[in-house]
Amino acid sequence: MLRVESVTVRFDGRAAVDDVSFDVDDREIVVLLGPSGCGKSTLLRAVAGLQPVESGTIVSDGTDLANTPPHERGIGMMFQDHALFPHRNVGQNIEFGLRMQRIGSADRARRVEEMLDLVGLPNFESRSVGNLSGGEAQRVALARALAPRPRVVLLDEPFGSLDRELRDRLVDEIPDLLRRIGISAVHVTHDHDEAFAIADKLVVMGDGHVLRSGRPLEVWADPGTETAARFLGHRNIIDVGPRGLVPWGNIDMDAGRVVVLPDAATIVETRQVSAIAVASILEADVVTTRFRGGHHEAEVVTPDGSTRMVFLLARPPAVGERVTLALDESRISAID
Amino acid sequence: MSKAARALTVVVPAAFIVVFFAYPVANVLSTGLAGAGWRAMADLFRSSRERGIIWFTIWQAAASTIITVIVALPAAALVAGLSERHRRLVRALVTIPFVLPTVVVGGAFEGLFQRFGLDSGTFRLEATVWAILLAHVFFNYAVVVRTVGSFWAGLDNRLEEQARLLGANRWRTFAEITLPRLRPAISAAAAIVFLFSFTSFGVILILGGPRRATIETDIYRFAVTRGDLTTAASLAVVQLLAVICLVVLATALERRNPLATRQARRATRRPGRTWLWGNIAFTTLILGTPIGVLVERSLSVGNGYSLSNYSALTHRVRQLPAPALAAVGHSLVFAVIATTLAALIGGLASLVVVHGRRALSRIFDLGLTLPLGTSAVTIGFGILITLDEPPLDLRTAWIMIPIAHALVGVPFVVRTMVPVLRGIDNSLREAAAVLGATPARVRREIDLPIGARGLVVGAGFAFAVSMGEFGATSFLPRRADTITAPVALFRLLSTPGATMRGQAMALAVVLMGVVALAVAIIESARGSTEGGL
Repeated sequence: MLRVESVTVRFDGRAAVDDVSFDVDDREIVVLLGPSGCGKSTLLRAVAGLQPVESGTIVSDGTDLANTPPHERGIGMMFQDHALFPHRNVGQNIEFGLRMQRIGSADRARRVEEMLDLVGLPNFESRSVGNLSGGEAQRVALARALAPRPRVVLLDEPFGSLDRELRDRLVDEIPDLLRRIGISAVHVTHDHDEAFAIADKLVVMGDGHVLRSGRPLEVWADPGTETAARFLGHRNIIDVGPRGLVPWGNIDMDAGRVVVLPDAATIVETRQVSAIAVASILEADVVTTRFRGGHHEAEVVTPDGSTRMVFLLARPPAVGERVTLALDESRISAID
Repeated sequence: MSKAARALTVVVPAAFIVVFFAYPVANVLSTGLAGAGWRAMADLFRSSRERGIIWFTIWQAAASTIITVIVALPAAALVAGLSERHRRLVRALVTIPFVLPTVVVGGAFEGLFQRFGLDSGTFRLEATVWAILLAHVFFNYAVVVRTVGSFWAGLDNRLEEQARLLGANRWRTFAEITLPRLRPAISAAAAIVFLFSFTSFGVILILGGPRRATIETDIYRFAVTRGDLTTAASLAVVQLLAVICLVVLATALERRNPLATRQARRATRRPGRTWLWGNIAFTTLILGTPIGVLVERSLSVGNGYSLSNYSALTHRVRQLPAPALAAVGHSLVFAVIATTLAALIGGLASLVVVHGRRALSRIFDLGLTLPLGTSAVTIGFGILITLDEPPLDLRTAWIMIPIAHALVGVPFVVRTMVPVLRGIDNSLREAAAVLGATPARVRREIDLPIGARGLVVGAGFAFAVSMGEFGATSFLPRRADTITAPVALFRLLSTPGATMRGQAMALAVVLMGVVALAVAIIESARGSTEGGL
């Protein structure tokens, strides 16, 4: 329903967004993930019409938006610091878009009430926006963006300024709420955990380009490039020598790099080794372990000290212990 | 916004400034620089009396500035350290002297000297330069407290705490950490104080005595008392040039050290008791004494106290063409008209400064600040010699008085409104646009209501300025139906005799009350907007 095609935005000649394309399907939540300054917010502003595009097209429901000013696009947007109007109360903020559509006051009041119920702030109409907590302001901003019933809503780092606990709660609540009302969304964030939790589709951006896009699990298991892999939180990036030489033997590829997913390893007893392909057995010493609720995260180092990796293990190893790890080759993928 | 509306936004303020400010001032310039003007200018610099006056104008302004900054700095610290609620209260109270009509300040110090026997004898202050300096400190105290105090409150005081932990004592910390960081605010405040002292009129006329004069009062003397318009124009040129130099210097300084108030993190710490109360007592003494004595003098009749000075305000006296209370009425009417004009012109102009194209914005910014730097006397003088013939023969029309007042008030409106408009987070406008507001609607829904608060503050200042305006008004028609309260007060003050003196004090108190009310409104509308004047 929203298609972004080869969009380029330049600031003083430098491309902040460079030939970026992605689609948003009906009722789909697309997350643009990337480090700060990678152009994801600029891209969002371009979609909203707040930022002129140098080339490329933005198509909504088959209509090219090139000559549509922001106020006629019918796209909702939630701003980074909420941008609530300080001179209006909560109800007046939420009904703003409805007033712009010349909707009568009785209908507006009903819609405001409905939106406040939806975001879990019933009877907040006459509160002043100056006295809202971070989470409340957040919800009001969302209610304001959704009140005029846009077909797609853009969320620009909406949880950036919130503390962790609140963020975790909203990360659960907001996708739920968006799905309930059946709206498409483009969500911008630099936090990969948040992105995984929310996204139907993930678009990883770096330096103005799309590095990878797809279903979150697919993108995570096969990030494609080292930058994307690092940004998605992967730490096991291993150099591959000539003829596929890796610390645990050989793999079926030529020189380059691979990412070993943290769930690739299982601890095996030495006597079981013969039953497994020898090529994927790694001996390593445990450097640190951390309990992460449900599984154990262990950092290991090969005996020669050349390679360090982090794995999620079911059984807790002891620090200093030498373990034998069986690596699942399907959980290893090549990167550029 | 439609093309026509946009054009009006530019044309209305521009036309007002050109007709009532630029054209008259240009006329003063051309009179002062024409053939006869050059000769008058040469005579000016040849005369040792005039050289002395120019020198005195400069050094009394410099001395006033230095003393004001030093004396007002503790109160700025006080304001910076207070909670938001208390800060607003103190800021409102110290602002009262600043908006007091200069003639009232002159009257208050006259009363003070008289009350404590400083009007004669060894410790005579009356008609000395000390009287002038004291009054300037009293008057400009608020400029330093407000500008520096608000800026100070925005500074991150963890730096001071760090310095203290590293072993610097209180004074070292102040001298090495705080003071350097306050420099932009101090220099901005000092520039304004210097400008005000340089072009001070009422205070010098009343407190300086018959012989002491500055450029400003001498323009008045040549133009009105002696009718020598050419010499007056030459003096005005000299003053205008000096003011332009000052404004350029101050702008350059501000550009190098921008005076942006940012909300820094601040660990609030209760100030020590002695420091707090000592500071409050000091401020109260400096600002409260002249006001207190003024009130006391207004009530004192013979050896006792009564309200007879106030009831006398309704009577006609020989010195005035109308009863003093009627003059207060005229002032109120003029102030309402002037404030409306200033709010309209200044409001539109602020929109141009903030949203207009770069070049236009620059021109408006400068063009609307110039009347603030130009002395009121030059403005009045310009109107006197310019708008006296068709097509615009307004010299004897009463409307000239509120127009001149509005001219002085417009810069205040622009100065308070522009920062408010600039401070509006652009994402608010974007949010409104995304929610379906057209650009014109955005202006109406976001800029206008938020800017309105700045407008109320600026209009409050414009009102206070109009109520107290004396310099420009003294060139304008003075008939029974147009005499303003400050002009009436000046006449009463320059009349010897105890009865007139008592009435003058009562009139000053009434005028002060009206102005204080305006300040109260300013402060309550000001809300949380920080910084600026």
